[in-house]
Amino acid sequence: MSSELTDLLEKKRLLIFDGAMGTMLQRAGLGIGECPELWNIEHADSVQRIHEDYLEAGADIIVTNTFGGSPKKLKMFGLESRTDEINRAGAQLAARARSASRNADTTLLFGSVGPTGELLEPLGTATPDALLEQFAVQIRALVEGGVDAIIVETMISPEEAILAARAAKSVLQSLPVIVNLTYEPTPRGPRTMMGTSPEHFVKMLADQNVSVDGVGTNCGTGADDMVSVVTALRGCTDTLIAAYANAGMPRMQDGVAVYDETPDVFAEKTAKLADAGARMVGGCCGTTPEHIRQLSKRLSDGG
Amino acid sequence: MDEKRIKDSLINGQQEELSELVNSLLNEGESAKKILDVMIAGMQVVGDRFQKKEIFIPEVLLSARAMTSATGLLKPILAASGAKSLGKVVIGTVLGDLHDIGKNIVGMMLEGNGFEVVNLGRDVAPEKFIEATEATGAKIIGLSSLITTSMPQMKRTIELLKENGLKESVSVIIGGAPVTQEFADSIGADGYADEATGAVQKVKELLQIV
Repeated sequence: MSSELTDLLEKKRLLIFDGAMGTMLQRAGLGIGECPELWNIEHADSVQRIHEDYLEAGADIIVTNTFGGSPKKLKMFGLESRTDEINRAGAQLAARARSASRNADTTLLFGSVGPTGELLEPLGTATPDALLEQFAVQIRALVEGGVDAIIVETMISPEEAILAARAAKSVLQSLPVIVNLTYEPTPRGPRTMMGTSPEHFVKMLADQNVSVDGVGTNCGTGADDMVSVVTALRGCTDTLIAAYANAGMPRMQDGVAVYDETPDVFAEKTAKLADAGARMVGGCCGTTPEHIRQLSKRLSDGG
Repeated sequence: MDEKRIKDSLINGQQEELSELVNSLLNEGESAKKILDVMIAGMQVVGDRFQKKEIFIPEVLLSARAMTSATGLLKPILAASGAKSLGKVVIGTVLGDLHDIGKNIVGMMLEGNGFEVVNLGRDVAPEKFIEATEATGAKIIGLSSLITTSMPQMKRTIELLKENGLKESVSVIIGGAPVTQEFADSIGADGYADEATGAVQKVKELLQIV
């Protein structure tokens, strides 16, 4: 199916994601216990500026500040009734940043959809139908705000991830969807906290007849530990693979998290994810525009 | 008593089967304390396997749930016979943090090992930890954080304990994905563990339970 995403993939061998949003929001003054997504309304300039900085650094894809934008997640801040407004504003800010960029024609907007924080039955109390509806409400607003695709991120439950993908297709059949799980290394290979392997997730998608436009992984580890995930995915699917890691593991210093991996080290390690078969790479927690700048430079130097 | 059957149904998370088994053992006159000890040993197997990443969250939650309902059958009998819990532990996820899966697993593992757990939930303000500790007389507080932005609240909670003169009599253990031993040392926490079995071990050490 043709889309802005497939068109761009014909022009470029690799697409570069932006880096961390949360890390940059904290630097801009996001306080403890504040809802990051509310900044789409109350500090719109700051959020737009972060998108612009990433575009300027060489990102092909900017991801909206809507990770915790499901009604369930917003409810924890008493903002459930503003789900539409917050997600639409998130997409519009990214669109505005793109319009101001000299590479507007080759930039894509991905709407971020993260976990609801609920566990599905029988482990928890959430029903599949309820989660499907949650995701649909959020994704509808993102589409209205102008995103080109949906990125389902940082999921540990494969069932929840699949519900988010199905919700995206129910909102708009032609909407490209990429689904990322977070894995950790185990003696038997990468697994999510629920015990799912990359191969098993791909099989679940096929068994349940869920068509996605890409699969991948983000967060949880540095890029070193992601190579095995990309390799496993490459071995079992022909679909597009996305991978973006944290800038190493965090340590606390004076009450704030510090990610020590320097932009050049991060770029070198992330290039290995591209070598392993990921066509979309970028940065997660702790990465900054400088990390993306170095990554962009490294990938263009490396051919 | 068929210890293996008890352990197996616990390890496999078979809630109904375990409860039926416990009921019939009680009817046969088996000691509640002995049954509990076997289940605690089973829960330790679950913890070890989780630590080794041989099993994952779903298996642990199902085992813990089976343990909780079976323990519920034993509690009245244990209470009547004057058996005491190993101690009270107040747990919660700190202010500004809404994650509670890991913290709940630690709570269930503590209960499974014979502790009484007061679970304050998530997004818990430092003052609430102090109130609950004073109200229950707990000697251990367990603080959880999954996001780096909420970690300073751990420090704040320990400071407030000091301000209230409780730091000498109450020990604080901390945990969560971004938390490290180094961070625990830097804020004056008494213990740190990187997973649930280690947390139980740490609590035992702090309370000097062999």
